[in-house]
Amino acid sequence: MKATISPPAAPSASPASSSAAPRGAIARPSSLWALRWRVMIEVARQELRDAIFGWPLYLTAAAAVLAGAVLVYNQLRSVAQSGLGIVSCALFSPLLAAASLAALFLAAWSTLAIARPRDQGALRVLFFGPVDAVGLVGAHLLAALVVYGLILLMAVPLLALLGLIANLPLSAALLPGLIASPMLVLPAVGIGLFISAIAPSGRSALLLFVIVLAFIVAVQIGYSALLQIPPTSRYYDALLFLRETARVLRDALQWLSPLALLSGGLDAACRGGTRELGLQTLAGLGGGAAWSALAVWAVRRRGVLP
Amino acid sequence: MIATEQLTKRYGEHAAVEALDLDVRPAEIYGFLGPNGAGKTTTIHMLLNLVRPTAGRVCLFGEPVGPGSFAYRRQIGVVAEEPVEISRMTGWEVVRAFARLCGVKQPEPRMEELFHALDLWDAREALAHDYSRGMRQKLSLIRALVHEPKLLILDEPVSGLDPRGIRQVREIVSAYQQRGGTVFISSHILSEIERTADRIGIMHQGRLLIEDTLAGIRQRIGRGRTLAIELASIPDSLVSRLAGEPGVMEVAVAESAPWLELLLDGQHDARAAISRIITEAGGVILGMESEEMSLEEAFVTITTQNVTRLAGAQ
Repeated sequence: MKATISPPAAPSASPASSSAAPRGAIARPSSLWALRWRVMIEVARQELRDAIFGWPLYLTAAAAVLAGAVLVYNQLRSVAQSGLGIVSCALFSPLLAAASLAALFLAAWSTLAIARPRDQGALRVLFFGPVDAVGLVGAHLLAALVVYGLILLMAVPLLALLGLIANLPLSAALLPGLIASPMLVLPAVGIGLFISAIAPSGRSALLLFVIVLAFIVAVQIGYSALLQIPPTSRYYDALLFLRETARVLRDALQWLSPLALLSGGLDAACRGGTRELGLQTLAGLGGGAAWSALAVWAVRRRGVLP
Repeated sequence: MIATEQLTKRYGEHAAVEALDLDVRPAEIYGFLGPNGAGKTTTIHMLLNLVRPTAGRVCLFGEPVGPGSFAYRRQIGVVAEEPVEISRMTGWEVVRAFARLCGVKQPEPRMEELFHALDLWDAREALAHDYSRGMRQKLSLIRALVHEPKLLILDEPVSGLDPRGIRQVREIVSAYQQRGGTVFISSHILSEIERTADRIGIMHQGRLLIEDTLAGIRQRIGRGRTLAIELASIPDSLVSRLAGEPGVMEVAVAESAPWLELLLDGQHDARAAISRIITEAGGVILGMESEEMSLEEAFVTITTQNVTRLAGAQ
C-alpha cells in the first residue's frame, strides 16, 4: 500500500496556509502558565480515566462506607447498652473515618503516580510533549482532588442515608468541614507526590510511604503509651526526655499530618469554630503547596527517565 | 534546526557524550548512527531537555534550550526506541490525548489519515497496551506526527516492524521531509539510513567522528568504490601497472577465474584510465561491475579506525 499521508505543515503558518484554515492547528497559549494549565487538565483527565476504570477507587469508597457503618453500629450499641446517647455532631466519626481513608488512599495513589510510570518509561513518553515538572505535579494534584471528591460523593450520601435510618441525621455543622476537606487532604497528596518523585523506583516509593506512615502512627501511639506511665514509676524521670520529644513531634504533626489536619478541620466545623477551620484550611493549603513545590524540585532533580 | 556546541554529558568519569557539535539543517533527513552505547539516546534526551548537559549548549529552532525549557517540544515529534503504553486508553484515545496536550484543536482528520496510512485503522478502538510491539511503534509514529511538528526525532523507528511496516514508515518520513519537515533519525538499520538520509553523523564512544553526506563520507575515508573486472586473461604486467595508477588503492586477483578486484578511492573516477591500461596491456574486458562503498562498510571502517586510534593513544 502506498502511504498517502499529508505531510506536516510547519506550525508557523505562512499567509497562504493560514488563509486555508489548517487542520489540526496548534492553539498557542498566551503564556507558559496557560500551557501548563492545559497540560494539567489533559494529564489529570488521563489520570482520572485510569482511576475510574480501576478498582482501587471503588474499593476505597466501599471501605469508607463500611468503616462509617461500623462506627454508626458502635454508637447504636452504646446507646442500646446505656439507654442514652448525647451526640453533639452526629456522623462526625463515620465521616472522619471515610475522609481519612480517602486521604490515605490518595497519599498511596500519589506515591505511585510519578514513580510507577517513570519505571515503565511512560513518563518519558509524556515528556516528549510540552510537559514540565510543574504541569505534571499540578495535574496529579488536580486529579487527586477530583478523586477525593468522587470518593466522598459515593460515601457521604450512603452514610447520610444510614444516619437517617439510625436516627443520627447528618449534622449541617459538618458541611463546611466537608467542603473544606479537599484543602485538608492536599498535604497527603503533596507528600505522596514528593515521595514518588524523589524515590529511585516505584517499589522504594511505596516502602518510603510505609515508613513515613509507620513513623506518624508510632509517634501517636508512643506518646499515648508514655503518658500512661504513672509519676510513681521509677522509669518516669528517665523517660522524661523521650516523652517531651514525642510531645513536640506530635504537636508538629498536628500541623503537618494530613490526618491530623482533617480531624482538626472537621472537629472545628463540628464545634462551629469558623476561625479554627479557616486556620486548618490555610495550613492544608500551605502544606499542600510546600510539599508540591518539593515534588516539583524532586522531579527536576531526579528526572523522568527510568 | 538543531545545533549543539561542545555538548557534553558525563556520568562520573564516564563521558556519555563528549564535545558534540551537531548541525542539522532545516528540511533535511539527518541520520545519526553509532554502535550501542555511543551516546545517541543521551544526545536525544539532551535535545529534549530530559537530561541536563554537563557542559555545552543546545539550540533548537534558533533558540537556546535552557534548564526550564519545555514549550518548544510542541514543535517536535518523537518516536522512542521502546514504545510504551500503560494507560487504559485505546490507540485512538492515546493519540487524541497527545494531540490535545499539544493544543491541536481538531486532530481527528489528521489522525484518520495517519491511522489509515499505517494500517492501524481497524485496531484504533483496541486498548493500546494490548498492541503488539510493531503496532505500538506505529502508534508512536502517529503520535509524533499528529500535531504536525517542525522536527521529527526518531530513535530506532523501524525496530519491531515487518518489511511492510518499514516501507510505510519510510514513505511517511519521506513525505514529511518533502513538505519541509526536518528529520533526525537514529537507527541501527543502516540500509534504511543509507536510503533516506541526506546527511549522516557517526557517533562512537561519545564523540561525533564524522558528519557529512554519504558521498562525502566515502570521499573522506578514501574508499569510494569497488570495481570488479572480468577479463579474458590477465596479462603479466597488468596488476603492477594498475596498482601504480592514481586513485587505485588495492588490486586483488581472483584465484579461480580471470577477475580483478580494484579498490578505488572516492576522489578520482579512474574507470576510463583503468580500461585504457588493460587494453594497452593486451587484456580484453568481458565485464565490469562497479559497487560503491555501502554505509555499513563506511560505518565499520570509521568506528574501527576510532577504536584503533584510541588503542594507539593508550
